[in-house]
Amino acid sequence: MNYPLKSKPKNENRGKVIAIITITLILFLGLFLMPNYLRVVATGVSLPIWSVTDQVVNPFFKIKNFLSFKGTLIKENLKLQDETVTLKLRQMDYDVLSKENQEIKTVLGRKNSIHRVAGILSKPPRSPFDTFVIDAGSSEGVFIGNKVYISENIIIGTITNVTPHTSLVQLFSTGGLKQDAVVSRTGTMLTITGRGGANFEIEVPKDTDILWGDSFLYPGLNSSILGNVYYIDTNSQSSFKTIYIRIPGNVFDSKVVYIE
Amino acid sequence: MNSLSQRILLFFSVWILVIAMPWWISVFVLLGLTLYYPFYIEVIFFGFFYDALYATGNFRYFGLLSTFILLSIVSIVRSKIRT
Repeated sequence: MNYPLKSKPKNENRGKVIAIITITLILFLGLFLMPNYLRVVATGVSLPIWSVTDQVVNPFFKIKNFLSFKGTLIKENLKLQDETVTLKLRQMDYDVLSKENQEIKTVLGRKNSIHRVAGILSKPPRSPFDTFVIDAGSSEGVFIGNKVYISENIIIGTITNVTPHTSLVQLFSTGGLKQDAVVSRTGTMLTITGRGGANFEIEVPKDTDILWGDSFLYPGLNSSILGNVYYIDTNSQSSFKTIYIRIPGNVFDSKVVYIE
Repeated sequence: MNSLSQRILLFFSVWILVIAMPWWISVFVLLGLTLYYPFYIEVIFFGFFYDALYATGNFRYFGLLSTFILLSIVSIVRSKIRT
C-alpha cells in the first residue's frame, strides 16, 4: 500500500542558493555600474599592504645572495665590469644616433613626445591578468589610451582605466589581444596575438621572411619596439610556422613606466 | 574565541593574502577554504575584489563569475554526497 506524502521535504539548500545568487548579482551590478569608484576603493585598501610587502617582505628574498661563494662573486663582478665598459661605448653611439634622429624629426616638423614617469604599484604575478596598477591618474594628466613604455623605445601597453590617482595599464601581450605590428627588417605589417606573460605569437605561411631575432615595431613614425622573435616553430607537415615573440628585457622586474 | 570571530579573523587574513601574494597562491588558498568550509561565501567577494582591482577589457567579470561557479559546484556536490 502506498502512503502519499502530506508535506514536501524541506529544501535546506534553497536559502544558500538564493544567498549566492543575490550576492553575486549585487556585486555584478556594482562592477557594471560603478567600476571606477570600486577601483578607487580597492586601490585605497591595497596600497598600504603593497607598500609594506615591497619594503618588508621582498628584501628577504635577497638573503640568498649572502650565501654565495666569494670566488663566484668575484668572477661575476669582473664579468659585469667588462659588460659595463661595452655598454658605455654603445651608449655613446646611441646618444649620437638619438641626437641625429631628434634633429631629423625637428626638420620634418615632428614634436618630441614627453614621457611622464609613473611608479608601478602592482604587477603580475599579483595580478592574474596582464595588467599593471601605476601611481599616476587623471590628476597627473593621464588619460585612457595613453601609451606606456618601459624604456624610451620599448612600448608595452596602453592605459585602459583611470582614477584620480592611479591607472590600470593593459599590456599588449594580454592573452587573446590582437595588435598590429611591423617587422622592422622587411616592413611587413602583421597582426600578432598576445599569449600572456609578455609573450606574443603569430602563425604565418612557411615562406614568410621572418627570422630569429627580428624586431616587431608598433605602427607609427616613432618606431617603438613591441617585441623580438625568440623562437620559430616549424612543422614539416604544415604549411605554416608559428612565430613566438617576447617583449625585450624583463617587464615584470621594472619599477617604473613611462607614459606618453 | 568563538566561531564568528574566527571567521572574521580568517576573512581579513585571506584578504591581506589576496592583496599581497601572487594570484596563484590566493587561488590555492581560496579553493582549499571553499572545500573545507561548508559554505564559504566569502570567496565570491574575493573574486569580485580581483575584478575591481585588476580586470579590464574582456576579463572584467572573470573573477566574480569563476568564484560563483566554483561555490555553486562545491555546494551542489556537497549536498549530493551527504546521506
